Amino acid sequence: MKQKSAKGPTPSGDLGETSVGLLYVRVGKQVRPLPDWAQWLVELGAAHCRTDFASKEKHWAVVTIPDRRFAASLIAHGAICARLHQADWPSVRDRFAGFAEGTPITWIDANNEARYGELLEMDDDFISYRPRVHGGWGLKAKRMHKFASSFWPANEDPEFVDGRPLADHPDFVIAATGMSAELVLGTSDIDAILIGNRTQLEADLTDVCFSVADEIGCLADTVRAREMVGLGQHHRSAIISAVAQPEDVEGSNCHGPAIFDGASAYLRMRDAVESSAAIVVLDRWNPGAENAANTVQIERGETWISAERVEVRPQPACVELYQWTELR
Amino acid sequence: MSVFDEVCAAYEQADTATTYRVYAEPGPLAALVAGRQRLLKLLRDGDEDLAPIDSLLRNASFRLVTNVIPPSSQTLELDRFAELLQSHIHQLDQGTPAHQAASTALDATIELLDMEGTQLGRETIDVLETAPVGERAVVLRYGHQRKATTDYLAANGVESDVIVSSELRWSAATGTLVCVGWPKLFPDAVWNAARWETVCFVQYPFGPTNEPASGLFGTDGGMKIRPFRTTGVPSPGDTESLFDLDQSLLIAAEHVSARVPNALDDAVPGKLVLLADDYAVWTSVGEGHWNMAIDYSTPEQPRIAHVKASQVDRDAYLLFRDQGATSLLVRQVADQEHGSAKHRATQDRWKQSIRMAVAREGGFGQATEELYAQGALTANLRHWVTDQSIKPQRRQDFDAVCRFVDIEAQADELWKALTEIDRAHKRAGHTIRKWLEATLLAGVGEELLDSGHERLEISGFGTMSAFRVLHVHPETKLVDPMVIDEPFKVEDHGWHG
Repeated sequence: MKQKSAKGPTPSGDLGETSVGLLYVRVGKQVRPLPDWAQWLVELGAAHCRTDFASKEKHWAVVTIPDRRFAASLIAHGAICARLHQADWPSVRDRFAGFAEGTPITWIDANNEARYGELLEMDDDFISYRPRVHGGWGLKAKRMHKFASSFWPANEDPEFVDGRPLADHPDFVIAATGMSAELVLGTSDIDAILIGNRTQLEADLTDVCFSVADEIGCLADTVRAREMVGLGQHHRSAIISAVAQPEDVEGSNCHGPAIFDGASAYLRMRDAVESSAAIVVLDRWNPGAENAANTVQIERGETWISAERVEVRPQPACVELYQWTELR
Repeated sequence: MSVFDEVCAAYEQADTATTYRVYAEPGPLAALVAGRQRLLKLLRDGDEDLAPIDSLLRNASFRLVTNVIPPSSQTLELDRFAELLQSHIHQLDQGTPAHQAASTALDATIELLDMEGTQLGRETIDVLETAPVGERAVVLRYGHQRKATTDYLAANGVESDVIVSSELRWSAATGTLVCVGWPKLFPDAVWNAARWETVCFVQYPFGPTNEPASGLFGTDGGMKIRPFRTTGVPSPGDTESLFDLDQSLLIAAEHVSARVPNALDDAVPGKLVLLADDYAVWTSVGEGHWNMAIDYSTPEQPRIAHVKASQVDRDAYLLFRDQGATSLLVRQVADQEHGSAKHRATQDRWKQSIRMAVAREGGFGQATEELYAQGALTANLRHWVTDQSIKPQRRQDFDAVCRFVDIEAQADELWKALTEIDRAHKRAGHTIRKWLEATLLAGVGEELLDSGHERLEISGFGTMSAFRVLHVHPETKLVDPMVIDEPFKVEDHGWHG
């Protein structure tokens, strides 16, 4: 399988050029860039991707928009991509240190394509492997400077387990996140939680209307909500129904932002979120948003400690953004 | 159309629907974009209302009438027209001296003419002014014909310093009232906009020629004064729902508009106190300002106390008069129960004399200097002319005022009358306290303890509302003195996103 533009693990850093600048929208057979409002929502999620469990502060961001469909999903996508890039992944050396001979590995070669092989041995600088050729193992062992390109231990074909795909659109995952599929599909974490109407959220997430380069996909491929990928599979987020018990939110152990999709979710679950970052999406045409906004106004007055804002570029004209910091 | 396309359409509609547009920071940029989009929509995309124009674009020319300096009326080809309009927008954005001196926005009237010069259609574009924005206020967008509007309001008994705006919304994004205009030219308006959570909402009463406007920006004509309130979220395409408001708030809005201060100097430091039952009130933290409170430290025998704003804390109980200021209640009780009514004419004459003398001197500044020259130890003329003041505390100051206003011969008579009023007020305060305590002892305060809000009858003198304090905002802000001690319903003053 050919993989494009995939990166190996990135020790740390910003979101950079990943996903934010890459997503496109499919309209029939045509593809057009992500609209400015949608891209801004992705960036908003990326800006709020950090949660500091030790912090006594909580950063709130409230956005009001004309139509909140896709908004929470786009924010979650941005947050997850950013967290993937900022995670402190172990170095290649450390990852390989404990692998035995015969471990399947994958790497990105000089042509930026994914290759597969079988680990034979390695020393401090070089790695010996047997390449996978035409569905079988090559006869000749090869030797490569192991830091010359990005290696990653992997299944033979990292997008599949027992012949079952880990993602519907694995190439889209790689292209959209800019990360190795192994990282996105082979690790689990709660980088964001989405709180709202589960049916609506799942509809937004599964709409195959996005693309990156030639690869089509949906936001569920990158957001990978625990409730949607299925038991036993790796996930990166969780969906919590707005009518669930608040205890469900507390137990989610989210490392990223809590994203409230709609007024009901915010009004019901706002006190249950432990995350130090919270984003509220309000739909301006929804009468319920009024109550939520009033609650924001009133409660902000009680808990507000500073106007500290998370840096994000100015929002599009039809979007309001309201940020503040309060004590947790 | 895919679901995502539907969402995109919603954003686009929100972006171009002027009526419902919420401008977030940076407002001017958004306004600029909106103005241009509006223009483009009119010129290119066509519109149902402009369908005839759309079909005639190629054979028509446009006349642009602007009110910027110098006023201009030109008939232009499409490209040149667009270029000129954008040039004006740019100049407004840059704030050239000529445009800063203009007291009105760039209002462009587009007339569509056929080749023979016959008018086929006409539209007015209210291109939004753009301006640098401070941290707090965004800007004020006012309707064209602002002066005509304010004159009309004044003729109808409304203070002219009403904010006239087609869009004025409380923004959750900025925590401020968001509007569009020139802060430099209308500092008071921006100040008011940033401070008042309720403003008088005036839809364009006039078209460009003082006739009821119609069309994309138009109204159904006639004057509309609507209090801006936060309920009733409009839906796209519904041009009336925003204005379909509770008319009972009209009185409140007029009340607010009449209290708009003329200058920042009149503002007093105040704190916002959140009260039970969704009420809030500004209390003055100035020296000498007291609030009536109910002391429940002995629950079986509640007492009326006077507390300073700095002493007000959560779970305190504050009392406010429902019909006007508490000081007016004291005045009424003093007049009716303690005989001060007969001295009121004398008191009014004294205050009127001071006002005239101040005007004669050219203002309070000069008058104060003159008063010191007359031997006054304090010269608090601003306070003495208000209804809250009865007389100077020192006779020496009073005599100086009499010399200043040239009524020295009547000084003794005036001092005696004012002293009588002062005593009557003190007795009235005791009387009100006794009435209230008797009311509370009769068990009237049970609902107050339960719900945090109850209205108490004051025998023959209206009612007072008692509230439990929920929260005292830590910040002190400058507010208009007339909003002090006037509880308001929070839900009427909130946010509109």
